Amino acid sequence: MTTKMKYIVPLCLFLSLSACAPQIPDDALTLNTQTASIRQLQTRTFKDKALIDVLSSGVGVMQDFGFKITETDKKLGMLVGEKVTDASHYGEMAGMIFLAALAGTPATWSETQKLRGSLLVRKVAADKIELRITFQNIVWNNQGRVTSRKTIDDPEFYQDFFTKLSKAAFLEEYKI
Amino acid sequence: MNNTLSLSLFTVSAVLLLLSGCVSARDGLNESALNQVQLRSIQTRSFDSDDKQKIMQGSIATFQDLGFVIDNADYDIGTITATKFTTRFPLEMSVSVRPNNQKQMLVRAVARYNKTTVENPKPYQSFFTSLSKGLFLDAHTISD
Repeated sequence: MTTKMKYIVPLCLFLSLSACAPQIPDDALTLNTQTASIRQLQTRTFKDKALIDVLSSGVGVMQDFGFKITETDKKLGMLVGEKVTDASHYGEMAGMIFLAALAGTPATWSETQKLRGSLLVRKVAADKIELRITFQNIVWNNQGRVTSRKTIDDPEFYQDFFTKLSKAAFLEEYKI
Repeated sequence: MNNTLSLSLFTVSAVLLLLSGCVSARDGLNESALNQVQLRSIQTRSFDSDDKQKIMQGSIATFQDLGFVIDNADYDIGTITATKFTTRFPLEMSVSVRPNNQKQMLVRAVARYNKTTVENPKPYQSFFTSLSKGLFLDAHTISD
C-alpha cells in the first residue's frame, strides 16, 4: 500500500458514510390516487349549521373519546387533540417473552400509544360546512423506543368518530 | 508496514474526533448551503388573493390531504405547523402566510427531515402544486 493510499482509503470510507444521509421521500408532498378516497373517509358535510356549532361538536366528541385538546383557533376553525393509551396486549406480550427466552434476548412488546388528531371546520358553500379530521398514532415499546409512527387510514376508526359526532350534534341541539 | 498503517488510521481518527469536537450551536443555526435569498425563493410562493383565512384554511386542508396532522395554527400570526410520518423519519413543516400587497398573499413553507432543513426545490414545488390545486389559484414564484 502506498503512503497516499493509506490516507485515501479511510477518507473515502468516511465520505461514503456521510453521503448516506436519508433524503425526503420523492412522493412525500405529492397528492396521489388515494388522496380522494382518504379525504372522503375523513370528511363529513353539514347543511344549515353554524360553523361554531360544528366546531363545538368536534370538541365534544374529542372529549367523549378522552382526548386532551391541545390547540384551538376559532378563526381557522381548527382544533388539535391527543391522548395516551395503553397499547399492551397479553397475547403479544406472551409471544414476545417466549421468543425472547428462545433467543436469549430481552423481551420487547408494545406498551404505550399516543393518538393525535387535527380537525378543520370550514365553510365550503353558503349553506354547507365541511369537517375533516385526521389522526396519527405513535407506539412505544416497553423499553421506551418508538416502534411505529403512522397516519391512521382505517375506515372503521373514522366511522366511530363520525357516529359519535352525529350523536353529539343531536345531544347538543337538545342541550343534553 | 502495519505500524505505519495503524499510525495513519490513528491520525485520521484523531483529526475526525477533533473536528467533531468543534460542533457549536452556531453551526446548528447556520446549516444552510444556500444564501437567504435563494432559500426564500425556493420556499415561497404568492397567490392572487387577499383572503388570509382562505389561504390558511386551504393550507391546513392541503396538509390533511398529504397525510399530515396539524401541530398548531395561529390565524393572527399566520402560522401553521404540521407533522407527517414517513417510512423513516417524521417530516415536519411550518407554513407562514402574510400579505404581499393588497391583492396577494405570500405563503412560505419550510420542511425539516432527518434533522435538516430541506433545500431541494422539488418537494416545495410539489407542496405548492398541491396547495394551488386545493385553492384553485396559481402559485407564483416570488421572482415573477
